[in-house]
Order: sequence, then structure tokens, then C-alpha cells
Amino acid sequence: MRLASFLSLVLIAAFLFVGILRLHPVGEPLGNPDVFKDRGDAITDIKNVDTMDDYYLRNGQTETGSNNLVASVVFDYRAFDTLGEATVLFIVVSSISMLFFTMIKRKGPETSGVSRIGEFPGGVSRVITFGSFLLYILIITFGIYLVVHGHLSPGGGFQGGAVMASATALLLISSLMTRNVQKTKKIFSFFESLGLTLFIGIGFVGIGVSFLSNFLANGNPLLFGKAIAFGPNPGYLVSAGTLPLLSLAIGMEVFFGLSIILVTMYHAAKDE
Amino acid sequence: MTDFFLYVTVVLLIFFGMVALIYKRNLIKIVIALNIIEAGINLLFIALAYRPNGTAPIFTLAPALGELKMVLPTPQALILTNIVIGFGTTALMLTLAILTYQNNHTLDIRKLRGVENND
Amino acid sequence: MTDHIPVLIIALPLLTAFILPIVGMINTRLRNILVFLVIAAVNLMLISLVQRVSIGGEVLHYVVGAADPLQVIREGLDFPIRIVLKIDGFSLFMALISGVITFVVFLFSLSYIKEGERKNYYQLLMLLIFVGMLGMEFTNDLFNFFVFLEILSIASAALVAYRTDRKHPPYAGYKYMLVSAIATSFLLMGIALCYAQYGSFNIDYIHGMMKYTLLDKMALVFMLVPLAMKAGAIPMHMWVPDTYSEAPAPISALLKTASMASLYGLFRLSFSLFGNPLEGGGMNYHTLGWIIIVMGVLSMFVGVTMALVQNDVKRLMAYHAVSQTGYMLLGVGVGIAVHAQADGGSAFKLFGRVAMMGGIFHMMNHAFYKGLLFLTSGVMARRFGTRDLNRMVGLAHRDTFTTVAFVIGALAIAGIPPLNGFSSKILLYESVYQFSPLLSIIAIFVSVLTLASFMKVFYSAFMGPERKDMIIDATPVSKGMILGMSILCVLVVGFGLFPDLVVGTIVEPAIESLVTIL
Repeated sequence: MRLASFLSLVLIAAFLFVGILRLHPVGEPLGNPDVFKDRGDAITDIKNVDTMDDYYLRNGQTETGSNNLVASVVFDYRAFDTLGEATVLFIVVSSISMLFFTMIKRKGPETSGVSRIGEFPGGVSRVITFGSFLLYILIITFGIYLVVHGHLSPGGGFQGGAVMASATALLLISSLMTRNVQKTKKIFSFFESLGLTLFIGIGFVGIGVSFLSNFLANGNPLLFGKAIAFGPNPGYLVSAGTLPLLSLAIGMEVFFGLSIILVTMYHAAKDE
Repeated sequence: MTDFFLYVTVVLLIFFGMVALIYKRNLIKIVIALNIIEAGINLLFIALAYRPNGTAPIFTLAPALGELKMVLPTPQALILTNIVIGFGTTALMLTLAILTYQNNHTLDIRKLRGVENND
Repeated sequence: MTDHIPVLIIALPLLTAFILPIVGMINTRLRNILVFLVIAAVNLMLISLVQRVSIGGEVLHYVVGAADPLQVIREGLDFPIRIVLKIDGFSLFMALISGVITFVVFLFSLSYIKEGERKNYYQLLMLLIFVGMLGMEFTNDLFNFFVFLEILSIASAALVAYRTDRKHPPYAGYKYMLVSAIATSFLLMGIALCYAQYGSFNIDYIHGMMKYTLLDKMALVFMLVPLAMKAGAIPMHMWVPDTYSEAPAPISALLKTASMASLYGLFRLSFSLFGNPLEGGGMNYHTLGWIIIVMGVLSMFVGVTMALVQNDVKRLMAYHAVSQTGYMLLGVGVGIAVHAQADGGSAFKLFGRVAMMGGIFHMMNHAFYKGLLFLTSGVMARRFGTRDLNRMVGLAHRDTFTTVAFVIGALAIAGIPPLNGFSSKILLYESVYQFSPLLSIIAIFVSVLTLASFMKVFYSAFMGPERKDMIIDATPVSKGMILGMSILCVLVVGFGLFPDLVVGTIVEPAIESLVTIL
């Protein structure tokens, strides 16, 4: 039986191997390698464009106003996927809250941090709590930077949110989060829903054009609408239309969502 | 030819992931096996988008237009989505593993087998 | 505003799900009303589309986020650059099934699931399964399809494990999640192979460019096998009985419809993505059809033989779900197999079309009567506190309505006229007999075994003396549960009495939208 399953695995691997021999060589993807040739300053310019990716490379910057083309794909061209992905995270957070509900309720309304007292006489050492507090501020600042600059530099809502959520983990292990767990979770859950509602709300506002359309790009500079010239440049913080707003909404959702997962799992797995 | 090893790595990752999936009996290790398969698929997307000497598709601090080459942006966006989905799957499966352990006091699928038949 | 209906159908329940935790904290009654309203609104929007899409034969497109949402491909380009939603006859047909079942499951769950903070999450996840099904059915983008499949899988897995205080549900949820994760991983692999060759994710665009290389055939395997796995066809059916039996009864009914969405994906991809076989070098459609037929016949037969020996009422019904999935695969498989025959399509016109019609009409009928049966099994399991048939007796004395509902469902699944199971099965029997008499005989034989198996349930659980000592929960069946079951009863009987009406209005256009592409 073990041999048979191993042989079938080898067969699948061989199948895959035959497949990759037929793929295009690494480094020669579909599309035009000279996609930036003769690119003017027009908003859309579809010369030299062979595939969907060529279109994004040639027009993504001017059309969405975002220097980061990955962000322009994530939050503009394929924003509907991102909505689905945010929904997946929301489902996971809700499921974990639901599944651990009885377990946490049975443990009673104790607070999450202080039960580790005893490992250090008189509570957790001052060095740890103060050090964590300093780090906490730094991590949150860096996370906010990543979220806000999502359309200019590597980063964005998901990455920034995940970085910020690591600060929550720090709070948990250094026993700084001493509030009642259920209450904390309610507040977090409120803000998580708010982030998601913000995201889909921006989508609904865009419905004058179409759902999730980038209706602010290349418009009023006060409303993130500053136009960008094509080519390498530092970019503007107030460009890219709805893109930074969506990034912010996602950052909020990811931060609070992951924090709920961390708090719930920490509390449920404790004292086993 | 050396570039080709990127694809070979993809196949190997998927193969090792599946080996672990079939031979490992521990609920947590099965989750790890799934993550390995997922890493293989993410790597495949990256390999499909790769251009030699290409920069990340970000215009901030990119080289001048003349020698500018960029990797394709769509696969990067997709694996961002896939990573988040993979994170969600992992978190939920670990939660269910914790609950299974709490209710049955084992993580071994051989001991869990047949558990559902004698309700 | 009517232009935006395709996206509103998906976005409205999504928005409701996002605000549901906050609404649930404030007032549970308000939450129930909100969920009720949004499911009803989506159903109304779907019904309003019947006139345009099914009867008028229109195909609705919606480009999410574009300057002009109705223009699929921008001027000067020959490929779409954004995610496109597409509603044709088949999508709408499936969406109607999902809508009706979700509505019924919501009504049934109102009092079946105990009120409490966990019920907020229950309703939210139920709504998101609905969103997942609708998204899978409406999208015309491969990666978007994958994302919605994940939404559906993860929400289902969490609901399977809903009753965490019992021993087995978490493990059943784990297994379901494992199967889903493997399936979706390989589906993504297939999507990557398509993207590598055509640089796009749009199903219609890839279909237009399809060159039927070896890689395309690999992609076909990587996409269809996971979807067959998620639909619960033999030999990838091992997760079905565990999952369906451990989930709360209304969720089993919803899961059945959710697996039907995977079946939709299987049919949709094999027609809309890989259809249109070229002369000579194209795909061998006869073989593909036969693979689906063999899978279907095996599912039918193995499912029903496994069901016969079960003593657990929900496991028995789960094996019947596997068996009935076989009928759908058989019908559509025959359609695919004869379509590519070198007789100018005369065999297809003669019986292939009818076989597909039977298979696809059976999807709707199956969702309704199997949903009804799962709901009655919920009443049975709650009354006796067990799912073991040996410890159930005399339910007919107490629950008259449940008994009637069960009898209607059981007769429908066995294909007894004049119920809806008969009207789709007769289409299958007649047309498949012209293709291969043996297959038709097997199908009839399986139906007889199905009837025998449900007779067993009826005799052991409903007949016999009333035993008050065996009843654990004596609360009467609530109005919501009766309303949910009676909606399905009316549909089961109505579709059996007037099959022509349904076939002409929504089933024919569904076939039409698949076949014109082929």
C-alpha cells in the first residue's frame, strides 16, 4: 500500500515534470519585452501592448496614479479579488471566534495577561514591559508607514496590517494586554468590521461609474487625485485615487483581524 | 539552463509536500505539508513572471527608462492573495486541530480513524 | 441601476455579512430581519433576471471597476484587463438553486440553532457560503473563481465544526478543510498553467485562444479533478459522509448545494473553457465524455450500495448524495461524449441534448429534495438525540408534518411520479437508453435500491409504536422550520406536476448557453 501510494506520487511528479518542460523558459514570459518603448505622457497608450501584463506595465502608473504597479493591480484592476481575499480573512477570524467561543467562556472572564505572574516574582520584569512598549510604538509606526505608502513603495494594506498585528503578539507575550478578553475582542471586531465596510463602501460609492472603480484618480489633488507623469519618479502621497483609501481599509481589517486571532488563540491555548 | 532549476524546485516542493501529506500521521504536520505545496505553487507564479535583470514593478527609485525592465505585476498580486488565503486556511486548520485534540486527546489520524462511526 | 445588478447580487450579502457582528451585538431580532431582507432581495433580483436572461436569451456582462462596466474589452485591445462577471442561462439557473436553498436554510435555522452570540457567526458564515456560491456561478475569471471557491470552502469547514462541544465535528471540519485545501491548490496549479500560455485569466478569452497543447490538457486535469473532488464524485468521495453527517442539518442541505456549485464549475470549465474541439488535433471529447460517464456510473452504484448498509440516518443520506451526483455526471457526460461524434451532431440532437437536460434539471431537483431530506433528518436527530436508526421509532405519531415531508422527499429521490425526481430521471433514462442501454438499466436499478434504502429509514424511524421514553427533545417543530420544509415540499411537488414549464423557462436556456459555446 505504501509502495503503491509512493509510486503514484512519483507518477504525479513525472507528470508535472513533463509539464514544466513545455512551459516557456524561465525569464521569457509572455508579452513584449520593449513595452516601455515610445511611451508618451498620455493617460492610456496601448502601442506595444501584447498581453494583460503589458497593459498594466505601460498604463498602470498613469491610469491609476500609483507608482507601485502591484498595488495598482491589487487595489484597482483586480480589486474584486482583493475584496474576496479580505472576506476570506474575515471568515477565518469569525470562525475562530465562533469555534473557540465555548472554550473561552468556560475559562471565565479572567484577563489575558496577568495569569503568567509567578514566572517572575511580583509580575513581569520592568525591563520586558518597558522594552516591549518602546518596540510596540516602533512597530506600529512602521506598519502605518507601510500602509500609507502602499501605492509608492513595496508594502500596502496586507503587509502593513500584518506588521502591526505582530505588535499585538508582542503585547500578549509581554503581558501588557491586561484587559478583559471578551471586551478587547468586541472592540477589535468592531474596528475589523469597520475596515471591511469602508472597503466595500468605497466600492459602492464608485457605483456611479462601476463597482470598485477608481473614481478619484486623476481628479482633484486634494482628494488623492494628483496626476503622475510616466517614468521613474518619487511620486506623490496624494495620488492614486481610491487606492490609498482601500489600502488603509485593508490595513485596518488585517491589523484588527489578526489581532483577534492572536488574542483568541493565546487565550484558548493557555493553561492547557 | 540554470534558470530552469526554478521550475524543478517547484516540482520538488510540490512532490515533497505530497509525500509529507500522505506519510505524516500528525494533524499539525499535515498542515505543514499543505503549506509546502502552497509555497511550490507561489514559486511557480513567481517563476512565470520572472525577467532577467528585471526590477520589481515599482517606479519609485527604478532605473532610468532606457534600461528599465520589469517583472510582470499580475502574478505578484495573485500570490499576495494566495498567501493571505493560505494563512487563513492554516489558521483555521490549526484551530480545528486544537479542538480535535481537546475532544479526542490525540493528534494521530490512525487513532482518530473510525471515530466517526461509533457515535 | 439595472446595469449593476450582477455585482449587486454579490456585493449586498457581502456588505450585510461585514456589518453583521456589529448588528448582532445590538439586537438579534434586527439581525434576523436584516439577513432575511438581504436574502429575499437577492432572490428577487435573481428572479427579475429570469425574464432577460433565460427567456430573452441575453448574456449580461459586468466589468468590475471599469469606466464603462458593460464594455468587456476596451477599444484597441483584444483582451479584457479587469475581472468580468458574466450571467448566462446556466449561471442564473444555478444561482436560483443557491438562492432558494439559502432562503430555506435561513428559515429553518432561525429556531433550529440556539440563540446566542455564536449564532451571529453562524448566520454570517451562512451568508458568506451564499456569496461564495454566487461568485463562483457569476464570475468569468479563473482566479476570481478560485477566490470564491476558497470563500465557500473555508466558511463551510467552520460551519461543519459548529458543534464544538461534541467529539467529532472538529475532526470532520478538519477533514473537509484538508480536502478543500488540496483541491484548491491543484486548481490554482491548473490556473497557473493557463496563465503561463495565454497571459490572461478570462475564461472567454482563453477559450478563444485555446490551442489544445499538452499543457492545456494538463490544465484540464488539474482543474476538473479538484472540482470533481469537491463535488463528491467517486473515487474522491471519502469526505462526503463524515462532513455531511457531522454538520448541523441545515448546513448539510447548504453544503449539498455548495458542492453543486463545484459541479457547476466542472461543467462550465469543460464546456466554456475547453469546449470547441478542433478537427484532428483538438481535444478528444469522446474520451472526456466517457471519463465523466464512468465517474458518474461508479458514483451512482457505489454510493447507493454504501448507503444500503448504513445505520446512521445522515450518513445514509450523504451516500445517497454521492449516488445522485452520479446521475448529473451521467447526463452531462453523455451529452459531451456524443457531441463530438463524427455524424454531424445528429446523435446529439436526437438524444444528447435531452441527456444533458436531464442531468442539469436533476441538479435543481436534487438540491430541493435532498435539502428537504436533510432538514427532516435534523428534526429526527433532535427528537431522539441520536442519528442511529436503531434507536428511533414511531416519529409519525408525533410529527405529522415532518412525516409527510420525509415521504415526499423519499419518493422524489427514488424517482416516483409525479414528483420532481421522476421528471428529470425519465429524461435521463430515455436518452441514455439510446446511447447505451446498459447505462440506463444501471440508472433504473440504482433508483430501485434508493427506494429500498429510504423504505428502511421510513419503517424504522417513523413507523412503529410511539415510545415516549426514547424521545429526548419534545419541543414542537417551530413555524420557521415548517415554513422552510413546506417551501421545498411545494417546489418538489410543483416541479413534478409541471416539469415542462420549468424545463422550458430555465433549463433549456441553461443547456443553450453551454451548447452554443461548445
